[in-house]
Amino acid sequence: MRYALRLVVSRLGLAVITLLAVSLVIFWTVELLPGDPATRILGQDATPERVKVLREELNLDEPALERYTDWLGGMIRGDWGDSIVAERPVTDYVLPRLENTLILAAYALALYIPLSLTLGIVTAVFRESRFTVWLSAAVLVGTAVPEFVVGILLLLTFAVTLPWFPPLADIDQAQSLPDLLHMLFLPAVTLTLAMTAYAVRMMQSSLVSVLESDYVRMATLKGLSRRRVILRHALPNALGPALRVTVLNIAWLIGGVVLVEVIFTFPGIGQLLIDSIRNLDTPVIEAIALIFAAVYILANLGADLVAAGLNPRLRARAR
Amino acid sequence: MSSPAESVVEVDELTVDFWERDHWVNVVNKVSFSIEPGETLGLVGESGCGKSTTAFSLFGYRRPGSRVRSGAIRFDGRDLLRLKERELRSIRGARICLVPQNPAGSLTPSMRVGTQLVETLKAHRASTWRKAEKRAVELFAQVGLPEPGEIAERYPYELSGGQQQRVVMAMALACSPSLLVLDEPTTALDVTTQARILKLLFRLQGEHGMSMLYVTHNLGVVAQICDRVAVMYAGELVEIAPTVELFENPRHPYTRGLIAAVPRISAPTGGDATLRGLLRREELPDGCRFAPRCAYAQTDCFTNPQSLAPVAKDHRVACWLWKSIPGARRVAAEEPAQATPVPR
Repeated sequence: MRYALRLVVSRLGLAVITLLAVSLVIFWTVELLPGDPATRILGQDATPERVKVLREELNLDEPALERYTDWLGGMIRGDWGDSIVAERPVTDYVLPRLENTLILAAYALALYIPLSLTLGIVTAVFRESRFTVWLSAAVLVGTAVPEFVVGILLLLTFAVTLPWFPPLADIDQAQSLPDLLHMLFLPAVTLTLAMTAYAVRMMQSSLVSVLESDYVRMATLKGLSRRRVILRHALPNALGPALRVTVLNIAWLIGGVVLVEVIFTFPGIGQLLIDSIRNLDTPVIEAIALIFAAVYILANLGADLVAAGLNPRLRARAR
Repeated sequence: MSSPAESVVEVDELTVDFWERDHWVNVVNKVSFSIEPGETLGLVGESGCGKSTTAFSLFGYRRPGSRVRSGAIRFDGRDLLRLKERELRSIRGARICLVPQNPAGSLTPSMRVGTQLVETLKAHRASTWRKAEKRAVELFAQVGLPEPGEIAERYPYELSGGQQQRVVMAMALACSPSLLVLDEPTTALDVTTQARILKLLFRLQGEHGMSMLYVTHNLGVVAQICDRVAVMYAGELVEIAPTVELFENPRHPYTRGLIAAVPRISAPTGGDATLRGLLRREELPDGCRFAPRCAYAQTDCFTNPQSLAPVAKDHRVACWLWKSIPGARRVAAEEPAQATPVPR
């Protein structure tokens, strides 16, 4: 048990250090945006008096390092400052949007996991059949087509030409869960397809190499059923790489959702990020960037821990 | 030769091809032999000569990207190459069992070794999981594993190479097979462990009364344990004879080369010729496949395919020049070295 604990603690420490580094980068990047923030916000025609007042409000006269520590301390305490545009606390503004995005992401993941697992197994197990060759080709095309193209095509086909789904994924209008699932189907499928293509390729290649291993041949020659050979002997040893891709996909989901949210006019965090950049609403931009980074780092942490759990060597030592 | 009816298994003109990029390459060509009850047949040849492919065919198994072009493998009145998956499953692991070359790689890393044995028992013998677990521990004890109950709980990486080999042997013996296929089972082991495993093998063969096909390139081991030896070259059987006869009176130039090469390592046919040829099947002549490396080859050798013909009782060779080639006895004078003494 001590070994597992040490692993968790060391990885957690590493995650915190990474997050600190990222926060520095975010802060200094925003700092480096050209021009004085107050002038940027008020526009070129602003009177010097108004600029002076705003500078004081934003504490711009203090040294940058001090402002960084203030900002970081606030982030940790849960006081993320006020949005310059909406003049409301950033938390009030960002968190409901984050919740929406998480719902969409969870929906996409719920479609993605069974789909990529099934396709990965089918393309690996029946790799000699002609059908699989076509399927693999389709997956390859899927990897190459960016998600905004897929999203627009789906929108045109299933919302405009065939009005099966609403073109606007306005989550706040959803009355019930089936209603919600119906409304979010097209954006969720767009995200799912973007993630599945790569995951299927990883799943297929790792499963093919496992299927050609000596232990899978041995299991076959012991007279076990094909089903047992694939599910008990091959699959557990092929999941590692696919799992890693899945975690990276989760990380991508939170950020990659931006384009899809714009296409389907979805009130999520990606859409908010775009709006905030347009309005130069720096506290909101910083908060969202930090959330993206945190999700990415946490997802990787999760990948390490799950990989450790899958490895019997580590599991045994933790026993 | 005994009559085919008595044989445990009979391989008849087995021909296997592998798919290589854009064409089929022949890997096993018209190989025929049989294994008698209680007999140990050695199958020897260089790496890549098709001996392992031949051995795996005995399970009705073909590696992905390969095809059985023709031939039959008769076992228990049935042709293993034409059986349905379901029928093959009832034979694999029960009637015909494998002791693999690489026990470390042949055990599923994510599964306890006890479970891997129990599932074999469960697949063939209708019984409860609990009974199978009990039987598994007995089997581990039978192959000489210390603290078998504790070993069963371990994962493959927690065992030594010798222990892993004993685990796969317990799996192979679990259902008392009539034929054991051993694919270079001792290559991965050090000499002492190798000797111990071979000794165990004799004992178990005595207890179970099974036949064995022993695939190897180690002539020392062959001399110790095999009743008969079949020599393969470039996918073809070139000579088959009782072990003593083969070592004392090798007839095929390739067999002689193999035996002569044992003590001195360097091959008598010399130089790069020993390393060339096997990998590039395209270069093989239509006639005798050994001709390009053969010191006695004549023009006709390159065009006339050779097939096994009797030389003496139970001794057949695929070389039409066998009578005219001198020096067989000289080669025979050299005893096969590297043999670790194993008490029988």
